[in-house]
Amino acid sequence: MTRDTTLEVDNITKTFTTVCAVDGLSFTAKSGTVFGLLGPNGAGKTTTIRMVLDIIVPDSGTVRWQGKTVDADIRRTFGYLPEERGLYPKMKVRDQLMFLAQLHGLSALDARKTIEDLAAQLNLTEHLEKAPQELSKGNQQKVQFIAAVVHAPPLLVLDEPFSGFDPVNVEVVKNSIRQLLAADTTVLLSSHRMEQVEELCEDVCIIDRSRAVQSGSLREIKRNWPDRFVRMSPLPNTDFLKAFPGASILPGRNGFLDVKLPAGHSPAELARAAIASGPLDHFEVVEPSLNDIYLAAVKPEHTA
Amino acid sequence: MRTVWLLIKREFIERVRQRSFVVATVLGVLSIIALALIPSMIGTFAKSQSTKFIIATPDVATATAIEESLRKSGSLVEVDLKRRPMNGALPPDMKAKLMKGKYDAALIAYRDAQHHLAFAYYPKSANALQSADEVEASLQRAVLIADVSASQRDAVSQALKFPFDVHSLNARYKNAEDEIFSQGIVYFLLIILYIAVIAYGMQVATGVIEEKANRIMEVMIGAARPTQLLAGKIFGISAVALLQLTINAVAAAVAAIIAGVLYGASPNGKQAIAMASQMQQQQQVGKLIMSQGLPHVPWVTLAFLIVFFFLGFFSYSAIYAGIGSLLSKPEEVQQYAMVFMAPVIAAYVLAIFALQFPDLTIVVWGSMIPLVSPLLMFTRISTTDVPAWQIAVSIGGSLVAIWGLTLLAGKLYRVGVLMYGKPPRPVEIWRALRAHT
Repeated sequence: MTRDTTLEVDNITKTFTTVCAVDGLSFTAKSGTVFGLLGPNGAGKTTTIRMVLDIIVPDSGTVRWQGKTVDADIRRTFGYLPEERGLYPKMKVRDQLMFLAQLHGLSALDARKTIEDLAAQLNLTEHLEKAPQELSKGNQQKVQFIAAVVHAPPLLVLDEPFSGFDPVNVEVVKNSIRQLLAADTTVLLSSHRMEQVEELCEDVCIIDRSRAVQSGSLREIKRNWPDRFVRMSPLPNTDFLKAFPGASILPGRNGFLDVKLPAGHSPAELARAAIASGPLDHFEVVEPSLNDIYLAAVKPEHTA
Repeated sequence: MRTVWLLIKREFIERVRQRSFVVATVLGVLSIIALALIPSMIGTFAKSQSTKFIIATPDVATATAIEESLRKSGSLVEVDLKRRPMNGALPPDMKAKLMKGKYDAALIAYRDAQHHLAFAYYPKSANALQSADEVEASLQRAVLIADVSASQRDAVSQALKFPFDVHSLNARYKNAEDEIFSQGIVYFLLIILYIAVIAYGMQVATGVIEEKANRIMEVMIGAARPTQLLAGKIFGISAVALLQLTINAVAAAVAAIIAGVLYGASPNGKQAIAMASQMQQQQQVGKLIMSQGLPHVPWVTLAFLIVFFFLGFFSYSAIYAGIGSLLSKPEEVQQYAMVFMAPVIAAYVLAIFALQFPDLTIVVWGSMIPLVSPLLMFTRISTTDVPAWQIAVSIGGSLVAIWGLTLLAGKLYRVGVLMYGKPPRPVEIWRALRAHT
């Protein structure tokens, strides 16, 4: 199923005083999908998100939503879950959510109903009359999540949405995100957690030192990745790998021998060499994991 | 517009719901009621504070004259009739009584070698020491009466009771008491204006910083424009201020009526007020404010109080919101308190000056310069006749300044609300401002 492109980030650049935070970044996100924004700390993810949300104005380039440059009115429909969570500590959860929903343009009646529904979905109903300062961190996070989605935003920006959640709640939040996707929401997700990005995202953009180093459909990126990843049964002797310059053994998983095979070498040749070197009962060419791609794309001195 | 309204509503409701608001308002009302009871307190105070003299005189006639003169100024006089001093020395037993604290001062009258009346004054209490000049002045009358022959005494005494009517040509005040009263009211209202501008202005600053510190700003900035957030904050807090000031004003009016009933009618109250009226100017003013009450303040003055409160509050809160958005932690407000308060304090000091000299050039000009004008113009309007054009310039200037300051604050706000960490240096602020324009 093809999806419509909704969010277009076109060649945006932002320089703070002397530091270039984002340099000529472009990407597009489609409705009903999650777009993953990856990168080490300080790479420019938050600045990019703030430019998408029109909080910071780019020095050059544009951000368009459904073909129109994002302005205050369009931005007001967006939902945002910031990395640094923020709520009024003493204001009742229900009042707070009502306030934010109305601020985003909902009528009081719609807001009340949506809050009830979302609270039920996230097991938060009993906490609606409490102040955030009385809630556990996980529940505060859920309130923050509701605050971001209460007005049914067409674009939902999630900055590290799973930090602070236990595995059960991560699933609860993921399910909510899936429901939003089913309703054609475009989700822009920034995270360090590769496995979750891999699970949710259709497209990704990896940013390093203010620039996009990988961008596009996750499947395409994996398919076109020059390095091959081979998983085989363990062999007593790995000297046969010396015939493949650049090949390296990755930290093994589940007793397998995982090998990264650089471009220019054929997996078939490796298979032959492996069989020659001993009994081989498992040989598999695997797609690179997002983690492999990320580590290859991001310069080591910049990984945090 | 709906956005700003929502922001104002939240600001107002959440602030009014706070326990601190309820406590502060109740305490405010209680202290106003306590203030209303001050006349009786001043009365008691006045009684215990009137100077007690012990006097010794060369003859009975002098004693009577002195006693009469001193009593006129509200002092208590006891005459030691047994003693006929020949010089100004203080007899040991009188000194002992003084030291025991029975009297505040001893006054020894005697006749010198030329048979002229002479006095030696032995004040013990600070009050008595301060009133040496008054005592000397009262004695002039006593000397006149005591030193004329018995046949002339009545005539002199009668002549000294000459009438002295003050027919004030000053348009504002009918008499000195009226002037003192009026100045007292202005002084009182000036303090309210000063405290309100600082207190509510600081609330704007801390409110902005709190929203930054608990990061709610990250969400808010996505839902509303910085100028809307700023307007919501300032108008929300001004609504709170208006509510609190109204509650206090109503409390003051009620307290004044109660005080009027309690003290105005009863003989005790009248005596207390009469006693109090002989005290220092400030106590007198306090008594007058409380006995005559706020209803006595011209409505125009109260209306101007509200107008200039808002002009002052809006000017300063725009600045405070701008500075506040550059700070990251509520504690930092303390460090920068002087920066916040300096301009208001300067305006206040000038206004106190203006209370005495409302027509000085510097005061006239100052009353038309934004930031200092609200306090100064209010003072001038309340104490002298101000040409209408000057009032218009003052209010118009303030409005223009508020507009400009709010624009500037909105920019600072936009730059500042997402800045964390150390407060930025002026150069950085300037760069950031330029980057956003």
